[in-house]
Amino acid sequence: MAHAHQITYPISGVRTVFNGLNSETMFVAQTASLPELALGEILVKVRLASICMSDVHTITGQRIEPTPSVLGHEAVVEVVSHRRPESDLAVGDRLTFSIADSCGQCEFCLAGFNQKCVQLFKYGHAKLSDGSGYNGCYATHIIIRRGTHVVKVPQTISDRCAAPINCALATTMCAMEYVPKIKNGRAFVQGDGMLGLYTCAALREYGYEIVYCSGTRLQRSPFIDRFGAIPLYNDEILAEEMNKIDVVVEVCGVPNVVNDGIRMLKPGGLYLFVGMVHPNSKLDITGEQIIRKCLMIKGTRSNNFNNKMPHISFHLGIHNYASRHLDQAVQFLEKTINKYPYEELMGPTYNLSALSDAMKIAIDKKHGRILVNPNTSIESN
Amino acid sequence: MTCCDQYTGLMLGERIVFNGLNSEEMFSSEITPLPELAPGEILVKVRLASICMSDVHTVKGQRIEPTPSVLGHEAVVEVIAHRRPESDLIKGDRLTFSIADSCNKCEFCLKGLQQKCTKLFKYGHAKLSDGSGFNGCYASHIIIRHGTHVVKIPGTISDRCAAPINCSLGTTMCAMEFVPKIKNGRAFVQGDGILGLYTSAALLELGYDTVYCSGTHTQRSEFIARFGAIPLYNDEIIAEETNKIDVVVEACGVSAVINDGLKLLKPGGLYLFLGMVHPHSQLNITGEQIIRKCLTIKGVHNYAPRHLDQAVDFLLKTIDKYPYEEVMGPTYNLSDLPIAMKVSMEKIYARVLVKPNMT
Repeated sequence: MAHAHQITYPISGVRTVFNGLNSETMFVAQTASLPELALGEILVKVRLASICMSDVHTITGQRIEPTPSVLGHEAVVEVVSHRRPESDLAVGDRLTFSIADSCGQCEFCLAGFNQKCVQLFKYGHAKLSDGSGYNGCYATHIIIRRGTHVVKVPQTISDRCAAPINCALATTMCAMEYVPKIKNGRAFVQGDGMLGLYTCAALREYGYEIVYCSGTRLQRSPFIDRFGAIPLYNDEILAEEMNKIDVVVEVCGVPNVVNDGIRMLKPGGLYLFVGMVHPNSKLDITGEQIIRKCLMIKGTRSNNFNNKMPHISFHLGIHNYASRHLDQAVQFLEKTINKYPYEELMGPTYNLSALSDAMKIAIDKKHGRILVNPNTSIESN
Repeated sequence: MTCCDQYTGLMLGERIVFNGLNSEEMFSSEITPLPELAPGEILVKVRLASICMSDVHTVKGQRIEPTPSVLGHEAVVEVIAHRRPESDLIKGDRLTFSIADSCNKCEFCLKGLQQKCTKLFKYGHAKLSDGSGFNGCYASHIIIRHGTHVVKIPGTISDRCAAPINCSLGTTMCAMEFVPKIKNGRAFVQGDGILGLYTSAALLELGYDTVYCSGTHTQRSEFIARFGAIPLYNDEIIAEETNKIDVVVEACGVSAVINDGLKLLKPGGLYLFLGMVHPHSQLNITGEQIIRKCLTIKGVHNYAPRHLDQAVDFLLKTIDKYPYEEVMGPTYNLSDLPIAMKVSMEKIYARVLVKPNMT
């Protein structure tokens, strides 16, 4: 099916606008018309969004985002209409989409500096005045921009499992790109949140024999176990495994675990830093520790911008780096959907009008993710 | 001419024993018979040794080595006798040799990280009681153990140029293994000692377009230029090059430079740590700095046997291109080792040399 202009304008949607911490009402529901699509854009309705911890950090003031804006960058969406004639998208397709969007054509993109793109855009992190304003997942609809990579979500993956793909799982795939395939490999994942559990599964699927996972929530330990890892709350094991771990992955955002990680690593080992994306991450390590063990430390982020293997989107020839991680995330989830308890990790679902309540529950960190369904007329599968 | 013990007919060797900082005599000379060779071993005489900064740190107490021991791990040596029948070694061959003696069987050796062998032995860092005791380069002879890789030195490389191969240049080659070949690559070498100069040359040879080199010895700036780099003593250039450098190499042993290095690196860039092999290297950096720019930090300590081969090839290929000979300082007799150490400490020369008394 080529063009899909099946809707008649005017049409409106609802979005929850974040006004910042100091405003009278932090979140305000706004009904606004959905503009007509430009070439390359896709109008989607949000089937199910999930609350990423970075949004929690924004509303607790630990992170500054432009305001007013629509937050939320993790969601599974459904095509309402589109203007990507060369694609095979059809109305009703369930999609996941890349969070960061760069133009691929400015001097920075061409030099491999996508994160300095003159038109850099991130869903859930953009001002209302940027483009259509339907820029975040805590809304009934999103206008997906022409430079954004999208991937169809297979039927075997439910909405609950699909929502976190485009942040948590894509970030995990990005980190895994640096992990060497090691016979009888031993790994240690520091963090028992979504990123930590996904990383445990990914390491096991990659052939790692022993994967430890540590965290602060003892109630997570059955999940750690079911995601293929050995829960580690015990300093004894840490002592036994000193100098024996091939890969350590920091996914908890806390700098004081780094010294343990360095001690656990084998000479020549790899430390992936993923979680400490905030200024309170001062490291208490020496250059000597890194040199004597010939360690490699690699920082990775979601939607990692680097020069290798640019992915050329099928439409309009626009480069969109790291969109391969979204592809890999969907493939990984499809392959392992019955092997790991992805569904059970997810917490309760809230309406858009109850977003503030949902955020409060998310702060408690009892569940892997809290969900938001902006379109209650859709039956999430 | 070798000295022989007139009673036993065994050859004698001299070694300068390091007794530690707190002993009455920090260095004492000992003349003692050289043992018979075991299979795989090589008896070499030291032609010329060079004083590596790590030995200076040991003598100053900033680094602890087992005592008593014979220090010194950089030298060009000459074969006197050997028990490696499958090799093509002959008496008189000039050699360089791996600092690390490794088993070639453990997990680390098998994956090419021989410098972290589970049974690692390091010349110049071993107790006198370990093996033959002729374990360091501040001596007339060394017994090279059977797990040690050796490489012949071509005739075009003088002793003065050859001495530092097996520490500085080997380490440089190991570091270079991680450096990507980048079109119009820009690099920044922090340190104008011998490691920094060798690294500058190596980056140029790999095709890097612009290599900056910074240090504290402004008198070195002429050498920096002759080793292919742009001397950098100027904070203005650092500001201009923020986020533009592909590779930064720490080769000065000072942790305070790391923050500058992180700022200079392009997103996705590489930071090599070579010099900070001592405890006073507390880093003042955040995890965020590393993650936001997707940086890679790699620690490089010593090197593997293949890097010794590469070092000799590199030197052979570029011997006339860079002023290797001229950066070397004066030569002292073994008996003047304490004086040689003092001169090293002043860091006027890239290296101070030591020649054994006996031949």
